[in-house]
Amino acid sequence: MRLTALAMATALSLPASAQAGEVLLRGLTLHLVEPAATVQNAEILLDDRGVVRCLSGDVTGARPPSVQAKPCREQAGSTAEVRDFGGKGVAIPNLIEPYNQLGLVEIEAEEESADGSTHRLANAAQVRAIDGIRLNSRAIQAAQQAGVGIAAVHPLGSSLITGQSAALRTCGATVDQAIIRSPVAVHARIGHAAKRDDQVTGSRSGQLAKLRELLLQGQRLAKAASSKQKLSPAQDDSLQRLRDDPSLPPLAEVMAGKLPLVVHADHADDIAAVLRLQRELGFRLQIAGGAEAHLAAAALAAQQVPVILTPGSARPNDFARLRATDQNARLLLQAGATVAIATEHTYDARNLRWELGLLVQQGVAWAAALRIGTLTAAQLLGLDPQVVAIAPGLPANFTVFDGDPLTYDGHAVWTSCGGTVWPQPRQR
Amino acid sequence: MKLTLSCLIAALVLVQTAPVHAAPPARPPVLLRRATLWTATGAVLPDSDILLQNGRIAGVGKDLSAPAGTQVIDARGRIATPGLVDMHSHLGVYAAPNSRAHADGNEMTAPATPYLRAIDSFDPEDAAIARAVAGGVTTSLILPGSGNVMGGQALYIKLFGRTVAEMQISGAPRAMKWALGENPKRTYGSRGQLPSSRMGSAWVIRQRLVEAQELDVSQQRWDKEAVHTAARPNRPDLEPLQALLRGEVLLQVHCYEVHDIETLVRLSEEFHFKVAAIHHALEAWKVPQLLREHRIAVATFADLWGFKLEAYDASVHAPEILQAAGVVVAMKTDHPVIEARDLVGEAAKAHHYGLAEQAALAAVTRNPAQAIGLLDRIGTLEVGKDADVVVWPTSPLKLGARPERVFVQGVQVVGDGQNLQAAWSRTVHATAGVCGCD
Repeated sequence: MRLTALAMATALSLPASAQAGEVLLRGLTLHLVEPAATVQNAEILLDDRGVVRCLSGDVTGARPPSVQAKPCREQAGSTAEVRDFGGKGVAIPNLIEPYNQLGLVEIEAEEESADGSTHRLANAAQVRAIDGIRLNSRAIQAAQQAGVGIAAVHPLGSSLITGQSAALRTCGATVDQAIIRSPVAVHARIGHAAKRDDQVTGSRSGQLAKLRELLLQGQRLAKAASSKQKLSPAQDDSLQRLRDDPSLPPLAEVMAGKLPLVVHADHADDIAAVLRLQRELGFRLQIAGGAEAHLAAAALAAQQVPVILTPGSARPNDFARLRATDQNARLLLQAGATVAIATEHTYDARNLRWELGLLVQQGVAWAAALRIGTLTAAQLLGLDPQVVAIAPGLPANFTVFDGDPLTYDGHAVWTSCGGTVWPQPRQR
Repeated sequence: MKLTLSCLIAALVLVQTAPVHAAPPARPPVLLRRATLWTATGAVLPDSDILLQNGRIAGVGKDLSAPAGTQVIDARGRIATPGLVDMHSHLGVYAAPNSRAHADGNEMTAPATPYLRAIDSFDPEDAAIARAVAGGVTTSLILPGSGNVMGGQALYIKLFGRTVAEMQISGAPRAMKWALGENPKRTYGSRGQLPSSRMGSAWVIRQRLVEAQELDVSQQRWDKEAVHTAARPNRPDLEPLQALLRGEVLLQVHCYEVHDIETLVRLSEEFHFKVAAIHHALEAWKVPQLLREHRIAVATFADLWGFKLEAYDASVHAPEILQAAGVVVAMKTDHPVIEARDLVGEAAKAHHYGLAEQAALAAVTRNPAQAIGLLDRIGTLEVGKDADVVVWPTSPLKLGARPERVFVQGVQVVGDGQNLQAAWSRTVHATAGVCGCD
């Protein structure tokens, strides 16, 4: 069994055929999100490095400057490999999974392959996801083959503050190649997990108190760093002790507004408690989890706190999720809150597109759901919007499906990540 | 291992002579008019009627005449399927919300507990039951968990009723849950107890079955004695295993990897018992011939994988591969691992990954009904079967598909727009509103 798995992992990690020359994709409907447009009869020409050379097709409404009317095939060389999808191909930018542990956790039950958790530390802010990422992961490959091009990965565990996340491409050969931003955010978690660790705190109110204390220490550091005021020796000693604690500088970054704090909370009252803290201390906050966020929708919108629903379709099976509803995203959007969608486990990151499809079932417009899975996620992660753009001069980061990718009708039939092409992606 | 025909016959006799499930309240007949019937027999009947009367399907065909007083429902444009059958569920034994207080599915104080009964843990007020029926599930096999090698005996329920007695399917076959692989050895090995290895698990099984065989011998000897000097030997803890060895129990085994499947087959040949189905079975796709030869059904996930090592070498194409090889394939939820409400989604994903449309439907209706010994009663839209019918506004294999109406034994328990959404997202149990039993 192990041999089979490893052999397959190796096989999947290689492109089925290396980029050898120009590739012309045609017979497509292309959905762009940056700028937003739908291109019918689309053609995409890639150069031999997997960089988009040309986009063409018919556009209803304003034509984005990146999309020309003249068919790309007229620019293709005579040796270009042509892949014709017969008008049934649907191309979308690769999706972004904004809250996952891909690369940190391969098999949850096996400690040897699970490096996603910190324990026995109330504040593990110094822990960096980038240092624990291991590629050659079947979970990453499965996600990539399903059109997930970028994932933000974070440490978790029973710590209150669990560490710093990183954003990686799902197709990098090395960690340094794969990482596109690190750190992305500092992460914390309010709720049951941290209660189990007696080194942290035994109650939610205790967690909030500790979080406030730690953020105030971060605030002291941040203020000291920006202040030109001369300190007394006693003040300087006190500050130095904070500086010497490696877990506090990341919180200073949070309090200086340089990094967001992503707090996992599902229960509406936990979310409300974190929102109170945000009003009190004024840091950039994002909520992850958010099973009951619809009950705090107005406050989330008013405080401009985005919510990463993890998963998009939480079930009401835990005390913190009893009021979960499959209308969560729609209600949040109606209230004016910013919503992103994540999957809950590394092994189901490949199903991100279906989590987005369930938004469409709720009544969210198809284009809006796609935007949530691409541009919104990029914005929350602080990534350049170009990571979800398809335009001449950019590496190809898109996937072609043989039907609607946000339903069970569509199968990934061609994908490229960072310009590396998999012409026949297939889930194992 | 050869098919134990007497086992099947015994099971069928039990079902056929069983008292009818707790009678639903008297209701007028229901005629679903001009639906597309996905019968789960392989036949799709467009523009057809189905008559539900006295808890059974009384007619299937075009332009059926309705008895006086029949409630006629215009089902044009709708798809009607059999009620869904979840053959691996922990509804009621791990009731929602997830909590220590509700953890009643694993008696992890001894590795072999074949004498335990899921019925004694089952909580009919589990709120997830209401959600499951709102997802079209009408029958579930409630299994003990997989912490023990021999977990205990299963409970057959219809998702209708207020009490355990009302929900239990009387006269259903006996079924028993075993588990091989990682779970039992993790449970006991972490305590330094037997079994801490797969060979330990196999020994636990062998030891108990030998004891059951020895009890049989001593009972037979006692039965032949002219004069009894002692009471007839009796071991209530071994009786279920004696029944298994007599072919009276449908054995359902949690078993993921090829070598665990082989161990199970070796044991079944050594002790001459039949395995009804292996569950989860994420490596079954590698040995379809072995499973077909031994007539072992497979109850599996569509794309859940990787959470432990024995679940790592899964294939999303497994249902298609197994079906093509002639293995009976069922999709199941293992609720609460996957929410029972989402059973149809497992079929839908199996279809997405290659299982044909009607085969995917059969994987949550006909096939599990067969694997749990109730095919004579449920699983297809055929005259004489229980009137468990789900009406879908569109294909049930679409993403996010939800029933429009659900009938259990002819009683509409979800539908008419009144309780559909409420049942779908119910988080507290309110039986009257859910079961439709006033």
